[in-house]
Amino acid sequence: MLVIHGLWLSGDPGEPALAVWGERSTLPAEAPRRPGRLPRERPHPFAADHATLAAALAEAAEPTGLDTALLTLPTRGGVPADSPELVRTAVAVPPRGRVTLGGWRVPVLRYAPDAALPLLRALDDLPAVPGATLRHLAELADFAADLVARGRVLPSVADAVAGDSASGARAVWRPLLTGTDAGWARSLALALPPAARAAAPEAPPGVLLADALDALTDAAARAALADTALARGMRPGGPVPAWLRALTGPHREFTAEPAALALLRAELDAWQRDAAGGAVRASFRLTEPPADPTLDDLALSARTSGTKDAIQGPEVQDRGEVVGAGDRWRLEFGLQAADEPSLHVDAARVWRDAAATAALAGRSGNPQETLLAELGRASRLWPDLDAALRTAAPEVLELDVEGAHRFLREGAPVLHAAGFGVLLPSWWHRPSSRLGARLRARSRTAPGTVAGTAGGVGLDALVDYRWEVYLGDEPLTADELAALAALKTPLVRLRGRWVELDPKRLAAGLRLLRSAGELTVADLLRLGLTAGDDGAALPVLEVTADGALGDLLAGAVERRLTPLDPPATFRGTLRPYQRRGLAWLAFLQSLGLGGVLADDMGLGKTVQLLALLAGDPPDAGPTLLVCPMSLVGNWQREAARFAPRLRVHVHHGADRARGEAFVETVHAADLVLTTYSVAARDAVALAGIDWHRVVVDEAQAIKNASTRQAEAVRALPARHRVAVTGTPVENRLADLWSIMQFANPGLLGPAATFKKRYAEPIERHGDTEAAERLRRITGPFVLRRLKTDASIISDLPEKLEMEVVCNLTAEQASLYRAVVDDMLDKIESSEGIERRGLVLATMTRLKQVCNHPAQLLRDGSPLPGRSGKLARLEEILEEVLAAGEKALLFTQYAEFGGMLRGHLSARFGREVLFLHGGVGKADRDAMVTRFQSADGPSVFVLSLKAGGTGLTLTAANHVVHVDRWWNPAVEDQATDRAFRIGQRRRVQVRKFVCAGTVEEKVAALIADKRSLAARVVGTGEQWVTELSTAQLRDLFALEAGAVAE
Amino acid sequence: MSQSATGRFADYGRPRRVEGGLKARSTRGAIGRSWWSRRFLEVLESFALGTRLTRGRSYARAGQVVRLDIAPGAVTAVVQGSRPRPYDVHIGLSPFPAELWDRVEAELAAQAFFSARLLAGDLPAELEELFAAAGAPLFPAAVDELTQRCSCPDFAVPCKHLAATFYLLAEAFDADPFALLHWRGRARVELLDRLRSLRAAATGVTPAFATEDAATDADAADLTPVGAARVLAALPQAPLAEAVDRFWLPPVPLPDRPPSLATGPDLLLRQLGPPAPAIGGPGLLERLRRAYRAFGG
Repeated sequence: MLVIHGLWLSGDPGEPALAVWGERSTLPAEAPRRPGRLPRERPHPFAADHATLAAALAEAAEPTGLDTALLTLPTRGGVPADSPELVRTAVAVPPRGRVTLGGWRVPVLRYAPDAALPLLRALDDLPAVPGATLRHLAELADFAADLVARGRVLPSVADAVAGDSASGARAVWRPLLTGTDAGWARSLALALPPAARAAAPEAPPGVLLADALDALTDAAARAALADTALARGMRPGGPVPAWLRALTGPHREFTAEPAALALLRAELDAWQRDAAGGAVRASFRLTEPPADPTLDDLALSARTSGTKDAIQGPEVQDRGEVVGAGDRWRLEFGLQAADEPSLHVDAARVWRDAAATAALAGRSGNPQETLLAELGRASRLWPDLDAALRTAAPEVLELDVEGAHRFLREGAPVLHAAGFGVLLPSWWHRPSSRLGARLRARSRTAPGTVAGTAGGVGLDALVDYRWEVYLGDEPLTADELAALAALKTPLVRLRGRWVELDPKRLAAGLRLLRSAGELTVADLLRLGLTAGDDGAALPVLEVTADGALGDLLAGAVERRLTPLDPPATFRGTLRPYQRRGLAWLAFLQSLGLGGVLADDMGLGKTVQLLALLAGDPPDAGPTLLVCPMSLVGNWQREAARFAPRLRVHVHHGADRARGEAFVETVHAADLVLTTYSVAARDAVALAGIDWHRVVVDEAQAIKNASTRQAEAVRALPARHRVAVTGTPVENRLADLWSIMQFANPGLLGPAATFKKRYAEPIERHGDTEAAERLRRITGPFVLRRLKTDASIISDLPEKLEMEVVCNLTAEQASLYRAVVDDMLDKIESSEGIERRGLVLATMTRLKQVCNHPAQLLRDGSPLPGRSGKLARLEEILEEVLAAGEKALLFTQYAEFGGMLRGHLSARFGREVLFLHGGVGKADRDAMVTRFQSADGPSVFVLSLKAGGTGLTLTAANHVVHVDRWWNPAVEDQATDRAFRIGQRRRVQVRKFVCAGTVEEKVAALIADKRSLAARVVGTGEQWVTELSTAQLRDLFALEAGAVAE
Repeated sequence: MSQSATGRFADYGRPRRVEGGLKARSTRGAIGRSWWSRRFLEVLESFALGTRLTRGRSYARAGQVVRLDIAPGAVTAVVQGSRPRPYDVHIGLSPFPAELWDRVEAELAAQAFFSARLLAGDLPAELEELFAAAGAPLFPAAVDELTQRCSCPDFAVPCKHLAATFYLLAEAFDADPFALLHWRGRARVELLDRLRSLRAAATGVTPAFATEDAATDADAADLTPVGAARVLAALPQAPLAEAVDRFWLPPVPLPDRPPSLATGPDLLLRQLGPPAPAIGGPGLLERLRRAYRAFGG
């Protein structure tokens, strides 16, 4: 295993560069010992050499050079510490002694900024595990690219790296950090892992990060300008053409006469001086005219009594005077500290109250002159301000309604972007303060034709529609719209609320009112998304319809539907919310629409789906269920338990049915289980079946729309589609698009349009209006209930225990068989104490195989993709972490705990705590305290012996027993670390067993024992040694169906 | 040299090099970026023509001016010519009388507009009108309003040393419009102080502020870190030795990334307006706009 780390070498001296070094788990963590004092510098004992690094990184970028670096690393017992991502299979005796800092020399690959940028943006695809430092620098690279995409960069001149600084210089693009960008840069600097500074221990993190951000931003700008020439067609001569040429392409250096260069620098500085603003900035707060209830009522009565005839003529004119021009809006000035916006002083106090400005002292010179200079700068950007500067001590700009609207639309964005503080009334950002449209649709009840009563509406069905135009909550007729347009005022107070009357939108509203006709259900749903994107069109506030379609569009349909009882063939009871979920699934199916079942983990998505399947008519045709390999066994067992009538076929493995045989097998089954990889490989054969239903479980697997498996799964023909996921899809919009494209193809439009209109505005710019539109359109098709919902929590038990059945990989299975064969031979030919020892050793080895081949082999081989348990654990933790919750993982093997800690911290990019017998009391207490704190680590691996008793870990509401102790009392005691006094949430406990292995068989025995009580089985493993060889053979043998690969 | 024919004393050979002299920022073409500095130079260029102006510009660009001082009524400069001893240059312009300043200051104080624009580095055209209305034109209208003296042997007025001084003076006005007002009788600090008291009188408050330290602004501009360091330089030091136990991981968790403002990629260019003509003016702006459009993709 290779773990790679990043260092930022700041450009002093030489060029700035990213340096990458690595640790190899296969090299021993030992350094040659010499007597006496430690030398200042030693070669790092397990650092990767140049060739290893180059091979691992070759795909992403070409290194600029090979080098070595002297790192300052934590050192204990004469050995540098492992990074947490490094997984060693053999648990070494922890070195003794205090942790100090020591100097270690490592080989590094250097990447100049232009090469560092693509490398950092391609980390996920590397055949090496990136450490926290590289992941942090990757975050920085993303930020740099985003700054460039938004144009928050300035072209400028920097000193040449070497040589004559009078005539030689570099052209650079520098980041301009204001407002939230400045805050984010500070967050990145504060969270910089100390390891990123190992090569420059003296450099403060802020300086190092600033240097890296500067260099990466410059590289990102040049990457964006790959096809742009800035100096084309310019007469040569003077520094400007040379500078412009050096602003694109890889060569940054340019030369000019010293005087000309000095001029260029000075003029660029003068030109850009106002871009960032100083430590204290002016602030502008817009306030509405005070409400006048009588006038408001007047406006209202004119509105509400307004029939078509009553609202014309002079009355409208009156209303115009009432609600419009007479009012004074106020734009109030003030000063605020740029780095602490809450430190705010009104202009009135700046002029009158010397003491009030004391808070700003130290940040600027004289506050009065600062305010004047700031107002002078702002008035250059927004000349309307000049009007307020005609008094001696300006405090406010009084605006009429047009002026206020102009400020809201034009002035505020410009001033805000220029770094001034701008505070607008909250209604301005609310969609309800604007003109909007509602679409009403009516399903067709074509007389004379009998529509398929069982079949639903479907996305292709036609409906009649008409538009209604609303201002806030009030419908407007065409005449009223015309009357409002005649007011010629951009802002109107209506029922005590301000609303915007955009003339273009008023005109668009009139056009809409005249249009009507028919369209398909799909178009109807899409209209809610696409309209309102450009300024001239009206935002769609609502789409409604009659009948079943109307119920769906009305939202919260799950709560309105009558809970559905599971069919008689379903064995088990559904909780109330599960019966509502079943009703929702059945309802969507009746409409011919797909859905995304996204309930929180542990709420029983599987049983809801099985209840739906159990209710299918016998001739419905097969359902295809695609899931990760790790879940196949679980589905098989759950189906057998809850819906035993279902004929289940697993389409997997090298000997899976093909051709005719495949078609026959499928048609003889009700539920066909397969994995994503097979779905991609057998795409053609699977697409040839007329599926009744296609279900994708752990639908995050298809979140990348362009992957082969996502494309294959989307291409499957089916009458009904369901995506199941426990990860909140609404947070990652690209994922949502891909999953919705499976469930309801075309609903969200083309991916590129969706990205531009929704994903980017919502994710990058926090556009609440777009988010609201998206929620409205997707809401009916996504059912997501949280454990914490009031209506759910009462249905849930305090502690929910689940046995999670995992599959073995082919590698695990062959190892398992080899161990059984080898050991049974030995057991047969032994007796007494030796036999007992051999039996217990067999148990141990088999359990190790079930955990991970690398645990048995102790060969330091890589972990991903080789263990069913590990795959399942990653899936579970992904959901736990996405929900912001915490988990305890118990294992009885310290060495496996160490492997888990390393693997999981690398996999999730988070700190994972690990408590084992070798941890001292002080360290243990520190770990517990940190885990219990709100922003502490989220995953805690504990060895059952060290962590099973005494500790209080109620910050966790998930407990996973990765392997089993076979003693319920011990396991319950461990579980109670989380489930004890102080726990306010429901606790979910998962116990892993591998299907068809000794684990599953012993688990079955214990389950018996717990109901029968007085047997000896559940007190450990000693009882196994008393079994006969034939009994052992039965117990150990690997059953068919254990493997799903 | 063809220029030598125009004046008997003009040709003393090359001027002596000056280490650390004041150099004009402009390297080619006209000197003077703002309308007010060019308005000032128009006066000079209206009566002086030909080689002395050209050579004065070269002097200004070569850094032959050793010192430049602006005081009420007098600009004095020391200019290195070809002789070992540098020449003393004096440009006199009568300062406005105190009672005129009183009247002007009362008007300036009554409208924050003037101080706001001046402090933002602008000399608003209205200011010129205000002085004109008070009967005291801000710019000299004719050459005879200026007393020009130079200790060089050249009988021509202005000589190249005077011309060089004029050019550097124009650039000083570019950099700080208060310099022009200083020449006419009010230094920046003094003017701001008086405006502040007048304002206080208007608002009925006695000011208790320290006098603005004019030097802080200029110095701060030179020392201000550039690029990302502008917001990151002041972060706390975090010695590695204190982080041995949490060496590999973020010392504090990285919060969720805040949403950013959706603005056009070229908003910054709109905000800044065109740069000085000396580096390309609006033409440069258009070229850079291409880059910002490409950023937006």
